[in-house]
Amino acid sequence: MNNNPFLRRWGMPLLMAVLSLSGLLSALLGDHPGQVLSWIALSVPLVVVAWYAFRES
Amino acid sequence: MISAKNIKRWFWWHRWSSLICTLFLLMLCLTGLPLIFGEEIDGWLNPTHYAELPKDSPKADLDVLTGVAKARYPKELVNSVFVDDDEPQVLINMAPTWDPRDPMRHSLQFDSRTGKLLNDEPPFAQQPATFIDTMLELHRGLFLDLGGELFLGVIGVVFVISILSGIVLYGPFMKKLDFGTVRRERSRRLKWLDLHNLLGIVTAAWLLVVGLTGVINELSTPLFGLWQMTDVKAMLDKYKGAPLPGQQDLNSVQAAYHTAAQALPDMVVTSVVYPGNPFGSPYHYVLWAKGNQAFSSRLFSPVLVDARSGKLVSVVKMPFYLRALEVSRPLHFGDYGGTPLKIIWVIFDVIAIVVLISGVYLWWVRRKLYESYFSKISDGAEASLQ
Repeated sequence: MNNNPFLRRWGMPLLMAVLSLSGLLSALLGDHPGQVLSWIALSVPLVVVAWYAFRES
Repeated sequence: MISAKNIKRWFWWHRWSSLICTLFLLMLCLTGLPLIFGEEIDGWLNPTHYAELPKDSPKADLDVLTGVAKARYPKELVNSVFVDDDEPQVLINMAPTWDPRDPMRHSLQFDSRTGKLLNDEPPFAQQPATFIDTMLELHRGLFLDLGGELFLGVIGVVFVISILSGIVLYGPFMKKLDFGTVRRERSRRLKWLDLHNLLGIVTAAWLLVVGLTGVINELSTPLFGLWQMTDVKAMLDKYKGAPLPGQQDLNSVQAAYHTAAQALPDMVVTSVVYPGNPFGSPYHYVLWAKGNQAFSSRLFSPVLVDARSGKLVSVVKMPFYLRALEVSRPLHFGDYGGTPLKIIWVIFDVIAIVVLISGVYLWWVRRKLYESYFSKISDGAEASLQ
């Protein structure tokens, strides 16, 4: 991702955690717009998993 | 930077915490899958056909419904009334005694608008458990009630330790690898090691939230018990010695419902616990109201209405630990964001199963690796002795 060794290793995991947690909370706090936001935020980690797990090397 | 010795220590924690909880976690993930869609599955398996009526149809009088129930079972007590806010039904729970384990406890189902008796159910103890009930009992406490709930609570804590140690180990494992690297060509073990790390780290936040809220849910019995022994007891102490109202002395339940609904205009009253019920108060109707928004519908407020006079006594403020429990429920069940969120929950759950099984696989092959390594050493030693 970049040359900072910490961010290189932890950047993506942190991003996934932030997206997951904001997705979990947004459906809790908001009604309809919050729900749509949560579907999007929580789908990103799933798409990332699918992308790396099934990609041809 | 963690030293090699520390890595070994974290690895020990990760291996043993995971091994202890894996079998139970697999059971929890598998029984949890149908529970995500539990309401829908129950609806398909046991459908109730309601009369088609306009949405704003007036509601039947609860006094009339309880009157019908009491006429059918004149020797029994009305324990509680459930006024569903989802389906047009009212359930009246009766039993010969107040004992929450009375084998004769049963329920009468009414249409909440027409007041028609839909189903005079046989006692709960004689009804076959539904598929979803069985899954829930297993998921919540291995069919072992409180003991099983507390045991699974401890397993949940061990699971959280295994996630945290797994996150710590992710750092050194990924020292020379880019995010998402899966080394497919080298060996099956390496491929599954990389997949275990990838799937585990991406779902770590979700796993932690569902794990921790699961632990809090397992504490619901002791937390409600604590509340009853402290706040509820303090509230009821001032009535000590007052004559207990019998079921014939009670003021109208419909009036109590109306009083509570007026006291909390932004909330929906969904159940009435009768005076004398051990889960309520000897001197009051306890009416449970909940909010009408996505989140507020998870927060309940009990309202006390005097059993004899029908006057509003108080709207009880719930302590923080019961609020925490209430917030934990949706975060564990995933039932607070529509069908798409439930589908997302299912996918996370399936990924968790893959992480668990790949973890066991990795432990197994490493174990074999060590064995062959040690047997080689000892073989070598024997050979050199000969």
